[in-house]
Amino acid sequence: MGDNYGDNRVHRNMMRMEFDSISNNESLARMAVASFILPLNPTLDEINDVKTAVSEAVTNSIIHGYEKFKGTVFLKCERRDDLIIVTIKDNGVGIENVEKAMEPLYTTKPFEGRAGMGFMFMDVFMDDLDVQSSKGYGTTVTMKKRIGRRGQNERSECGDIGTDHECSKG
Amino acid sequence: MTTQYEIKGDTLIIYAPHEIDHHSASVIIEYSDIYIAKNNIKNMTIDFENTAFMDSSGIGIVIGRYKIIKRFGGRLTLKNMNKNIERMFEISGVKKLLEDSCEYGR
Repeated sequence: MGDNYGDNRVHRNMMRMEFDSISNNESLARMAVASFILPLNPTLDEINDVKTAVSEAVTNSIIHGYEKFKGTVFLKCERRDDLIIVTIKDNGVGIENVEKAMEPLYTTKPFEGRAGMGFMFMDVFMDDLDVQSSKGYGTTVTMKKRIGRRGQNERSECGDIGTDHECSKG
Repeated sequence: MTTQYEIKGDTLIIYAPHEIDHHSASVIIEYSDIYIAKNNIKNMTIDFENTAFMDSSGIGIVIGRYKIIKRFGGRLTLKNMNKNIERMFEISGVKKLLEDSCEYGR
């Protein structure tokens, strides 16, 4: 299906970025995604949920995927109407047992201040979480969330794609 | 806003930064452990007044400091958390772990 440029009743958008696997870029990634979703007029809670999930996934790529070397983290954001799809991919070491890695409190780095709650927060804060990994080749995390399920009445006063998210506060 | 540290008697007060993620957490862990080792610290307070964003790295800081402080028979106090941060402590079970040492409210 072609993009409906000029028809603002269909909201489709896509953004891609890639960055070095250094910890400074964790805030860069979540700010970029937060900016990307702003036209959907999200509540402050929704922005916070998405930022947290992105931060968890990017941190995983940096400290686990590329633990011993510097690599590139790939971030892709898609918007399909009120659905946001965020994909975070690395070509790092991969996860041997995804199921085990996703268990709450499971961490391979207990002495470095890691709580083992990254995947749990991604799961809680987004509507859908998918993790594909292959040992030696890297990991791809895909997260989906519908924006605007709550506080619909409030939002309608703000206009459809207004970027002034102030009015959705509270 | 960067992290500030203050020592009052045997209590170390950490004023957490604007955003707590893996990047800022590693510095907080390093500094707080140095302060504890050098200043006969028994209790610790983490003040989240300036903190707008926190991911699971913040949970990691709290669990780790709790273990250290408990070893000295001290008390870990968390205060001035915003709604989102408090929710993360709730989901992670940390709130229950620190039941009698958390101060809520602004």
